[in-house]
Amino acid sequence: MEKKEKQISPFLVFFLIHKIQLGVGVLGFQRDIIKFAGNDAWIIVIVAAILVSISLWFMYVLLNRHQVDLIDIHKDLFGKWAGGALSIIWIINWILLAVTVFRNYIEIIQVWIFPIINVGMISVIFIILIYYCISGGFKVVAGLSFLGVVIPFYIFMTFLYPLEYANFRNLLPVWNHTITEMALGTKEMMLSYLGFSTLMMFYPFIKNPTKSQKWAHFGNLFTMVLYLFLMITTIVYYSEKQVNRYVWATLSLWQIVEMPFVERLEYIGIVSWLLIILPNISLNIWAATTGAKKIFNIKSNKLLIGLLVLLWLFVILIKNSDTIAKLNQISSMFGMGLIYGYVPILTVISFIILKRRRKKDGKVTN
Amino acid sequence: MGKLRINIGLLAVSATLLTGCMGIETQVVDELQLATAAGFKHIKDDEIEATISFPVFLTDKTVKNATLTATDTLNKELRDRQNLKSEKPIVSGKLEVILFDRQLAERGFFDHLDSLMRDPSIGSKVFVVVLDDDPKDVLSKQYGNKDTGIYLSNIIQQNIETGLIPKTNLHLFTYNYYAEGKDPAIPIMAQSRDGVGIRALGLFKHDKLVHQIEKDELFFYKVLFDSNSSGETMAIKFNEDKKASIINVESTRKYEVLQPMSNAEIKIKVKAKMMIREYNNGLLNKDKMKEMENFIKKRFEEKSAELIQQFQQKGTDPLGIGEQVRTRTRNWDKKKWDELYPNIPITVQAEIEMIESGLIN
Repeated sequence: MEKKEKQISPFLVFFLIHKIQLGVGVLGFQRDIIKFAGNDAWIIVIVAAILVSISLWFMYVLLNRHQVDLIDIHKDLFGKWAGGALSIIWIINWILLAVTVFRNYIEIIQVWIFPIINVGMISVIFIILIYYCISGGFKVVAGLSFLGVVIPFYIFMTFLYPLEYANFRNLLPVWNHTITEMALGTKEMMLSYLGFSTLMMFYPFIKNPTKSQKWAHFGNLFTMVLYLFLMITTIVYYSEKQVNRYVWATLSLWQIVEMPFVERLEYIGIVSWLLIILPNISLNIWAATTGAKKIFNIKSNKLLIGLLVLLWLFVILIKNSDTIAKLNQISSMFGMGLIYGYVPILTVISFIILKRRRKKDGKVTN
Repeated sequence: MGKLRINIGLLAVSATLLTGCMGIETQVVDELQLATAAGFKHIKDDEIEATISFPVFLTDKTVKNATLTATDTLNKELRDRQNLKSEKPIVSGKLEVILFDRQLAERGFFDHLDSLMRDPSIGSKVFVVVLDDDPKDVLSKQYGNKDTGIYLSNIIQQNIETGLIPKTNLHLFTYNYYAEGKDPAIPIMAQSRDGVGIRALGLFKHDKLVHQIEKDELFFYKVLFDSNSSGETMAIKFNEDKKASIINVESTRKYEVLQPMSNAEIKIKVKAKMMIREYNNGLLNKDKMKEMENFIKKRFEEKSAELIQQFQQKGTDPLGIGEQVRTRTRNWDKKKWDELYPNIPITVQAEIEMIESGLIN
């Protein structure tokens, strides 16, 4: 457990979990799911959220038993070297998630606003901002997550405009897809919820961490509500084959909005989205730095700068939309594997090892 | 901590300075040519002639309409060619209307919409219109103290709002183009003595213009098209000298599909409350109202059935009957439906109620 003054209230976990889930993927997640599940895509949003809740439950079982973060759990269970190696896998995962969000956001700026922008330069400016957030410690990152939910929330109101053209019949008939199609869709949807594994790093920073579990589930529920709202809007606003043409279906919803003071809303929306992704990237990088710092015993500040330089290099080296798509695929498969394969297995292993230890201890005292 | 603050401060200052090297194109409104309308005309094979019109703001606060024309095969290439002739860079962020001439509409113009959909600066609310005349001719004229793009867009907007034509824009066109069981319909405009006006509603099969609904049939189409509608008007003639004009106050439309994806009958039920706006057959009493209700009911059912039959013959489905079927069945099959559609008996049942007759009887 961390010192009291470094800790946050349990309810902030709501914002942290929600913020890390809702990143840049929400701007174009519909296409891949509607490809499989068509008008039933909204069911998949709910199913995936339930699966995420189960995974969150697994994490809490593991963390509540150990009361430390993932790095220490690894060290405790597998020793310094093997545990450290396993931890590095997770650190790579978090860095990869941050790179994915960051690069996708830059791509959106490139495609939607400034086609000939200097990517290296704009990422330097963003990275300075990220450095500023993370160097303030976890409390700043948590506070930023809170503001990142509350301030840009007005953005979601603007998605009510497209409902003028809604065709609610498109939702019918309910469930006309096969289980296989639904399962494939669910797999795609799961990727949109990724990122909440950072919970395993900030767990010791929560006051009364066991009490925060319900807030984590609420956070997940809130993410689901937003995804569900956007998914239903998409289904009723577009026709099925039409949505397959749009890379960013959510952003394209804004193309229909026209307000007296602004001709095109995307520009305001995309800029506001920075506030949504900033805590997201910060939290991932924070988790990676804190983890790496523990493993290698390096001063956090230098390591942070090193990681941010790495982030910057990644962002400028990935040049076209093909590579970005590949990056998305890799980072999502990696993240999925860790959350749905690694975490449950780790929970079981920890259960077995701790039980054995207890038996041994029991024998000694007897 | 103090050192960290200074570092961050330095970084922030350098960041502000770095914004200069970002390679962002600045676009100042005064230094741009904001195209408001684009017209495309078929020349030969792939070649099209594009004309854009844009406003020129004069110092005495009046607006002059100006145009630029170029020919090429690709939409964005046309833009470059126009730019070569332009004093200021042309941008399409303010585009309001896209016009295609009839020839292009009959050949299909979806390829030309591609560049418009791909361009983030073009909104989904742009009107797509078929023009019966030469786009260059129409766009180069000035109508009133406005540029032609805004003028045309106002005509369409106004008519949608008053309820004479169904909602239309680029989004709805692409929606219907991609939708299974529904086809696009967009206004056809033409020059007249008073300027430019909406002449008919063009019906499409995929992206090709195949049929059109004339002005006086729009009433029936509009009532059938919207599940809730109001504001449409119609003139009726009982015989040579007895005439009346009515307005639809409120109507609802419901589909009854008993056996989807089969040859069984599809019923469209319309309930409408109407009001009389003009009547020149003496006094209007209760009997005459009743008589009129029956007359309109009969005429509505006949005319609608006739329209739907035309749609079926041309193989276009602007009403979205296919969509109604698709959302009612679990074994939707686009190919099978396309075969079924022309031969399905579709009947219209109307229930007309005259609720008001104005200030006098």
